[in-house]
Amino acid sequence: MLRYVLGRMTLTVPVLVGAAVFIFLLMQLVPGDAVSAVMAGGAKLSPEQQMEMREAFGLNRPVLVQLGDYLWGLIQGDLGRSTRSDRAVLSLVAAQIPSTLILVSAGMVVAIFVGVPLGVLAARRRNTFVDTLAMGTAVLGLSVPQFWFGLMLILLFAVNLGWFPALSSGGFNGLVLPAVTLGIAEAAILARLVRSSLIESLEQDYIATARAKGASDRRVTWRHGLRNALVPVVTMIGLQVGNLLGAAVVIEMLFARQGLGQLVVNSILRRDLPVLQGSILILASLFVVINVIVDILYKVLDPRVKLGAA
Amino acid sequence: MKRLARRPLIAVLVVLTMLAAACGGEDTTAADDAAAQAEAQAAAAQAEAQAAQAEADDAAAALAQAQADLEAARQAATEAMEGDEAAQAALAEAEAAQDEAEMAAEEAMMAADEAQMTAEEAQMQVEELMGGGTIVFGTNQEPSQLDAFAATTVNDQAVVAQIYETLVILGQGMQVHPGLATTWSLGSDAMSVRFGLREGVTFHNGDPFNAQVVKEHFDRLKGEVSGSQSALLATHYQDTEVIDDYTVELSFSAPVPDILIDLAAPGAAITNAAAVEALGADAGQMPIGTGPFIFEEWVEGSHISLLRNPDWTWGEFSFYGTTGPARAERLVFRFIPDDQTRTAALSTGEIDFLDLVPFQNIAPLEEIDGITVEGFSLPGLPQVNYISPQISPTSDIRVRQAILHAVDQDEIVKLVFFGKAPRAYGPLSSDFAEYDPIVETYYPYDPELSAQLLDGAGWTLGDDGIRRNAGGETLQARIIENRSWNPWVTLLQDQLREVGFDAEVITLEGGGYFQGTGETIYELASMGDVFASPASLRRDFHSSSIGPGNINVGHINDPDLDALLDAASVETNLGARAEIMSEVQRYIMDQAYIVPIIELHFFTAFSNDLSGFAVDGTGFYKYFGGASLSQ
Repeated sequence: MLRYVLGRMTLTVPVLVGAAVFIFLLMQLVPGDAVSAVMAGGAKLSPEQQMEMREAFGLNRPVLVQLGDYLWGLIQGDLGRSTRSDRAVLSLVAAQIPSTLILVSAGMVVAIFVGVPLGVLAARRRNTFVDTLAMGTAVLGLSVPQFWFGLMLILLFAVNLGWFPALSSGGFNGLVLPAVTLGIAEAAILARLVRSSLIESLEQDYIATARAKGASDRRVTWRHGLRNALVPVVTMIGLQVGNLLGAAVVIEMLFARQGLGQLVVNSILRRDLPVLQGSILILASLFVVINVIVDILYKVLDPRVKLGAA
Repeated sequence: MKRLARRPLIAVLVVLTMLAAACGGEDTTAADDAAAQAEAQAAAAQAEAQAAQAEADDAAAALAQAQADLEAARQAATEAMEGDEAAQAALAEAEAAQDEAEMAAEEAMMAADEAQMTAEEAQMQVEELMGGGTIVFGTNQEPSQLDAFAATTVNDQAVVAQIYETLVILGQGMQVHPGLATTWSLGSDAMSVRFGLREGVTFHNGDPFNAQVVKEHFDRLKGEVSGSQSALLATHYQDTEVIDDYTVELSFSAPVPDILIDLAAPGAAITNAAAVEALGADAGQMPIGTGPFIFEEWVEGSHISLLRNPDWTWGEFSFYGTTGPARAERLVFRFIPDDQTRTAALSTGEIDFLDLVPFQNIAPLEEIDGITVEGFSLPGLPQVNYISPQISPTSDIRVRQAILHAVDQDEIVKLVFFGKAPRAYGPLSSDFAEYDPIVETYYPYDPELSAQLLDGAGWTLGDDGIRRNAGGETLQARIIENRSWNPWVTLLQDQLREVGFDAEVITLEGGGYFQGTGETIYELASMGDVFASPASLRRDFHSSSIGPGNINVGHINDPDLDALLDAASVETNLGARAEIMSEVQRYIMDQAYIVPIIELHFFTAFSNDLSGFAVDGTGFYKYFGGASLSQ
């Protein structure tokens, strides 16, 4: 087990290095740099001043040298400094992580507490009107654009009913609408997965045995059927955290909520490439870390899983 | 095993969610602090009243003692009765003592009453203060830093304007109000300006404001300059001379007739150079000014909050409508990037004020009870498309004129701007006294005339609706837009296609816009500029303003126009300058260097409970020193 965990963690190193290099190269494609962003703000800089600024930011060195410096900095835990405020990227990013993680967790809670019961309901009432309705709702939840859905929630629950604030700023009340917006699509995915997985496991022999023992229908579904059906579901939940991290960027902008998403968008607008680079790298790392945790959990759930074997 | 694996995941999620809930109370603590402070003031006044009451009680006790003494003396006198003169004298003395005691008691009573009144007043003040409340300003973008000297974006300056003060303030109608300077006089050659400074002003950190501080501030212009307003000032700045403690004289290397306007921009506010140096890299995060609000905190991705400066009692009444302190206890800038959310937050009352209302949201907002929508004209270069004379086909003046006759601004105003902004006719907005209305007669909408001009220039209409010349080249018109700032471009494209242009729209964004338009010449680059002095038109049309990061994005390079613009920027006689500016406007339109689209208007929407904010001469910056919220 320990060997598996260590092996799995070693595998993340090349993935992270690859991500860092890829993100760095991607940044080179962004039109305009920090100097042109400052000038777009209305500042008049002479060509000499522009050169000085590029010199100060190290923007005039060959790309490969910049890349090497960047990777060397990463090894030392240095993500560089913001070209706008001169503050360490790591501290800027770290300040935004808790808010994003809270939102993602809350979104996951919504996904699980809506998706799993909905899937169970649909599986138990298979091929009835309830099933059709539940799965129809799930398809709807999947296809509705999150941005639009969030706006509708704001209009209904903030503007018309006044139950929740439109702006999300800490606190439970402000978390409800963004968490629902974020979680609903994942809930739909979970519902469909739980339904098919549960239907499959309810057809297994041991279910028939359980029924023969005289277990109640409820007990058969929840204790015997769902427990086994949840193996793929847990894997899926882990992967979904990755989706949620990505979607959180949009949701944070919509609800004006603190977090990595706001930082990413602001740093794009300011052409603050070190901050942009750092935020994306941290998002990617979170995704990688969560996947490692999922893989380890999977091993716990199913001891047959091996590294590198299908 | 499986159960074990499932539970921690859910448990972690639940714990994190609870954590989120626990973080909720944060926002209220600072407000509580301020309330506590005001209450402490009231308590102090109450204590004073009690002390006065105690004094009055003491006096009353003294009076009682004196009365007792008198009584004793009377008794003694009655006993001694028979013509004892000494006793008579004692009696008289005792009576005098009683009078004195009575007067003292009365005085003490009055003092006690007065103290009681002070206490009540203090209490009322506390209530009034609470009534000033917290004003929340919904802003579209987070500032990048708050050192006024380095402020580049309008978002930086919107916040800076509340924390710092400028030497002079530009009010609506271009009226110059006193700021940190109470008097000023421009040298006869316009190469120097002398300011008499306001006395008794202090910075938020307690440092005094005086001539030396002003000199240190302006001498920052001699070092590394990064802010936009500072860069403008640095162009000709030479030195600041300290005449006495409260008089300075700034000198320049060239005439600066518009120096008062330049010094009134929020980005030209006086900073505390010593404090900035001590703070180093943190200066942009910990602003120290003299203004009505003190920086409190900046939560990245969420808000900046400012607290009332209780020492700010030198406010300029003619501009702020108060001499200070500010009426609102706290001013919060909440960053809300999404337009729709910003609008929703105003109707739910989560914010009290929002800027940059998108044109399509104006009418729906006007319908909502309790919300006022108000537009402010932004003087400057209207929203235009340059028509670059540097490349074919627009190097031919007939093609440029054809473009001007093909564009129907009235349709653009109606469909794109919902009738909320007037159409433009020339390079200068009609806010200026120097505006020359003759330009309104130049290019009426006339697609037939446009077609004739193009035919005459050798561009013939093909079967596909696109014109080509003899060499088979298509009549190309690349319209380049700066995303979200130039919403009219697709309609413009449509209107140009009507007369046979091969028109396309290219979109760039933010920093990339001025990079791209500086490097490449396009036929029709979009642009608008806000300024308070007509001579600033120089930066939009002068050949020195061409290149990456610069704003002459049409690459207009015309020595005759350069000469006119240069002359206008140093002309100190306003009448003579108006004549030059009139010539500039006619010249630009004669040469068909731009298609004017609309005169820029920014709309603000605010709660009817909010009153008393002031707007500057550019129409862009709002000052909240005199603003308050009724409950």
